[in-house]
Order: sequence, then C-alpha cells, then structure tokens
Amino acid sequence: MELGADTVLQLFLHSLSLWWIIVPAIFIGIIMGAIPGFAAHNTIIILLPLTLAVPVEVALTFMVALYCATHLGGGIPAILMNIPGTGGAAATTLDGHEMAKQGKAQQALVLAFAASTFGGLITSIVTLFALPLLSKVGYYVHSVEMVVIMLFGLTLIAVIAAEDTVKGLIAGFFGLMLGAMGADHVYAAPRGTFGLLELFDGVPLIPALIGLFAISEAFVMIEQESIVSSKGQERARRASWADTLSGLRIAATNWWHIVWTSLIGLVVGVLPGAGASIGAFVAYQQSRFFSKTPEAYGKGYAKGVIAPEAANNGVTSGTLVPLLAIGIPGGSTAAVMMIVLQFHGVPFGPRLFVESPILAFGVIMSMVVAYIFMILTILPMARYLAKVTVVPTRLLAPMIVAFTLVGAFVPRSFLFDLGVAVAFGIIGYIARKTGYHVAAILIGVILGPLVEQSYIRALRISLGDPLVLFSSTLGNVLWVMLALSLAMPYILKWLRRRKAAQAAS
Amino acid sequence: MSTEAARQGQTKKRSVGADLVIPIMAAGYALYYIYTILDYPMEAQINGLFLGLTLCSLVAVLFVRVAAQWFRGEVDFGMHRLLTPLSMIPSRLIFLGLTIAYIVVIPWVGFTLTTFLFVLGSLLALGVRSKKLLVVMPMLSATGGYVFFIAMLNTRFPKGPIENFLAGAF
Repeated sequence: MELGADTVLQLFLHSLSLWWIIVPAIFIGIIMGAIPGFAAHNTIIILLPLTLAVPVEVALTFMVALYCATHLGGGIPAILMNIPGTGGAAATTLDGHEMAKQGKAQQALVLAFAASTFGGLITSIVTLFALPLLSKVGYYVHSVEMVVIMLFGLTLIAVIAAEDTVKGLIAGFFGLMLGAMGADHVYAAPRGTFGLLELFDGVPLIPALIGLFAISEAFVMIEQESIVSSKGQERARRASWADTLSGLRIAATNWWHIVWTSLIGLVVGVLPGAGASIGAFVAYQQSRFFSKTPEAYGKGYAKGVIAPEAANNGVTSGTLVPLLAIGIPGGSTAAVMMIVLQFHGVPFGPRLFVESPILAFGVIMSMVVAYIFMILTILPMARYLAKVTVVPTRLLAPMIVAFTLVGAFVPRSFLFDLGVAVAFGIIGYIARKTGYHVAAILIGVILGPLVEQSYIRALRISLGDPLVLFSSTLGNVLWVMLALSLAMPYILKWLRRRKAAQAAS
Repeated sequence: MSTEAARQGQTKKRSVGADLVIPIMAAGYALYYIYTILDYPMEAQINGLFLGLTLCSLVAVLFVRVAAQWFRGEVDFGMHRLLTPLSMIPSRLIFLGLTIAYIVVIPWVGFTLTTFLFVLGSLLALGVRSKKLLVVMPMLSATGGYVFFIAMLNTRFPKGPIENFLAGAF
C-alpha cells in the first residue's frame, strides 16, 4: 500500500471519527497510569470484555489511546510524590520531583505533558512513514546484543542515578539478582526462593515497583511536614496559569530536545523487551551527556524532565513496530494487544500490511490523533494536580500505602504480594536513606529474568561457549560503550582536576 | 589544643555504618542464591554465578574502600544516616506495624473495613488530631476504594462484613 497524501488524510479523518472511544480511553489511561500497579496491560485485561465485543479497529484504537495515556499518567505521581506510576516514569522522578520540591510542580507537569504528547506525536508520525525500515532494526538484534543492551541500560542507570558509581552498580546487580529469583528457564529448578511457592515464577514486578517507590517514599515522606520545602510551599500556593504558560514556553524553546530524545525512545522501543524504563534512562543519560550544564541535572532541571518523558512516549510507538511488522510483541501491552487481535482473527507481520493495510497504518494514525486529543485535555489539569504537593505528608502517607497496596494485589490476586510490596518497601527505604538509588534496583529486578533468557539462548546457540557474548560486531561496539560509560565519570573528574591544577599554576 | 583538634577531627567523621546495610543484604542474598543452585545443571547455574560473583566483587570493592577510609580516620560505623530524625522513630515503627497489620487482618476483616481502620490508625499515629479529618479521611478512602476498586473494577479483594452486606443489599 502506497502511503500518499490522500491516504494519510483519509486515515487521519477516519481516526478522528473515532474520537468517542479515544477521549474516554485517554481519561481512563491517565487515571490508571497515575496509580502504581495499574499499567496499560492490566487495564486492558480488566476491560477485555469491551475490546472483544467491539469491532477490531475500535478495539485497537481504544487500546492504543489508553496505552499512550498511561505513559503520560505515570509521570504525574513521579513528579508530585516521587512515585512513578509505571516503570517508564522512574527516570522522571530524578528532576521532576526535585522541581516539585522547589514549588514548581505545575511547571514540571506541563513540561512532562508537553514532552510526552509532542514526543509521542513526533514518533508516531515517524513510525507511520518509516514502519518498513524500523521493522528491520529487530533483525540486527539477537540474544547476544540483547544481553549487552540490557547490561548497558543498567550501567547507565547505575551511573546516572546513584551518588557514587560503585553504590549504583551494587543496587543494579542486587536488583538483577532478585530478578533472577525463581525457576530457571530450562529445568524449572527453583533458585533463591526461600522455599516459597509464590516466588516460583520470580519476583512479582508490580509489588516490587510499589514497594521500592511508593511504600518507601511514604515512610521517607513522614519525616517532613510537606513534600515541598517551606520556600517552595509559598511558590506552589501562588501558582497560576502563568506557570502553565511558562512551562509551555520552556518546552517550546526545547523543541529539538523533545525531538531527538523521543527518537531515542522510538529506537529503544523497537527492540523487543528493552522497554520504556531503559528508553527513558538512556534518553536522560544522553541528554545530560550532550548538555553544556550536566551538573544541573538531578537538581530540578527542565531538560531532565523533558528527556525521559519524551522518550517513554517514543517507546510507546516503537513497541508496536515489531508487533505490526514481524508479529512479535515488543512489550507486555503489545502482547495483550496481540491476543485481542488474534481473537478477532487479524493476521500479523507482512500479511497484515497486505490483507488489512488500513488497519495496520490506522493503528499508528490513531496514536497521532490520541496525542492531539491528549494535548487539549491534559494541559489545563496541571494547575489543579500540582496542589497535591501542598497537602501535609501525614495525610498523604496513609493514603499512598493503602491505595498502592491495592495495586500490588491486582496482577495476581495473591495476598502474599502485599507482603512482597512491604518487604521491597523496607529495602527501598534503607536504599533511599543510604544513597542507593531505588530506580537502579527496580530496573535490575525488571531486567533480571530478561537478561537470563537472552544469555541462556545465546549459550545454547553457541553450544555453551561463554565467549559468544563477544562474538558480534554490534555487541562489541555496545561493550565498548558500556565500558566508556563506566569510565567516563572518572575520566571527566580527572580532566577537571587537571584543568583546575593548570589554571592554578 | 591537641584535644580540640582531635574533637574537631571526630566531628568531621562521616558515619557509613548504614551505607553497608544494602551491600550486606545483597551479598547475603547472592551467597544464599549460589548455595541454592550448587546441585543444579550448569545452564541453571551460570546466570546466578555470573550475577552473584559480580555482585560480591562489587561489595568487596566497597568494603575495601570503606576499610581504607576507616584506617585513615575519615569514617565511623554509626547508623545516623538511617535512623535520623530520631524523634520520628516511634511514629515510623507504629506506621510500619500498622502496614503489616493491614496485610495480616485484611483476609478476615475485608478490604473496606481494614482500609478504614488502617487510615484512621495511621492518621492518629502521625499526629493528626482534628476530629473532622479523623472521620472524613478514613471514610473517604474506604468508600472511594470500595466504589472504584471493588464495585467498578471488580478487584477480587478479600470480602468482609461490609462487602458482604453491600453485596446483599444491592
């Protein structure tokens, strides 16, 4: 199918006519994304009867709009309360919550919304035209490259998020170790489960997220009167529509930043399994790396909010590429979408573009339309959402614990998972108080089983040769980048010291 | 003068005892993990060995660094970083106790009533004394939680007297 101007216009108008399903999906997505535990795939599963009952194009449009909106919603609690609604928003806490503490929550929210919607819009338009090309990216990435990409992602997080690299790496590898808990992929032999049957399938991710971020944050929160500093409180109370406009102005001046960080998200999203959390951290690291003021990051810097938010919405578009182009879901939400498509008898991969081209390109176009609606609906809400930061912490903390524990229960309906959330809450509390970033632990827990899966596959293909990890050119390039990212902070420190010594002499 | 200098030196020492809690937990879990896979085939061991040994090496690097700092008199093994503010320890412990009680009690009392009691208890423990807040906040959380999670989203939370009564009434 040729994607000419008339076809694009036709697709756009058709997607626009589905506004009646897009608007409710956006609102549901934003609310569910803001509640830790209710990620897009959980929500779609809850609403499965609806997606199975309506025609396939309506179901797909609903799921896609909801998926995009959850990524945007995940940034709201990340900024306001330091609790990412989804793993993809973990990087947003680094600068977003710092801005909130300074009383600039409204501005941070507007930046996040603008970066998310424009980033998502740009990447969905790029995806629409570059779908055949993007689908080939997946062919170059095999199990060896996946292992290196995941370790590279984790290293970046460890270097960025922690106050010292060794502590960051300990947090990341502790997460990987916890993520490797459970039955192995070949012999189903239980490992490190403390003899608990509930941990046979590994550490449940949502309770881990809730514990590390929400429960621990609630305990840290009660040590202060308010989330916002006393200076910031005054600023937060005085917040007006002018802050919304100023946030929009900052976003507009950083338009190029939104473009390239969202494209990083798109490329990461195309890789099956890499996901929004890695995409957001890679974009954050790249943004800091190319910045003239890297020291400003982590202290409430606008670009530190823009980069991860643009990227995690870029991932949203990217995740659909392997599903549509080669029939492999790029993430858990794409997997749920695949099941719905299968139910409706829709083919995947190249057959989809031959048999139902309107549906294939229509999915991406409905993303474009969803982002346009999102810009209009979410921006006015920033002013009112920001008020959460001035609520006293002694009122917020019990609510956070009560409602996030609900989220821990939802995925598996095991009461045991509430205990897992509290256990991770204690680990998270100790980590926060002693300078081990919880994001590094969480990303480790998420990547643990994925690293093992790719590693074992690579070993099987190479008949057990451990040097297989250094057998591909792309993989070796990534190893070098990984080593450089580890060495870079020390090299930069040494260069700065040398420069200072030269200046002094 | 020398005593003064020694006192100043002492006050400048950083407390790093709390910083070692996570590495000890991590290394402990890594060793336990390796112990659980010792009898397994190589394919079930290799990932755990790679991660566990890397983690233990990182912990060793940190310990060596801390030991060197301790020998130089730069650090002590105090736990201040974890425990401060000390005045909040009772509230934190009560809040933790209530959170654990929430999980223990919920199978018998049900989601709605447990949420009400948990929010009420936590507000009291955290120093809220306004009667209006003590009534309104637990009521709102319990009712909102019931309507949103149980009635609308059909989450399969354990049922208690309130849920059974409402199920019978409607």
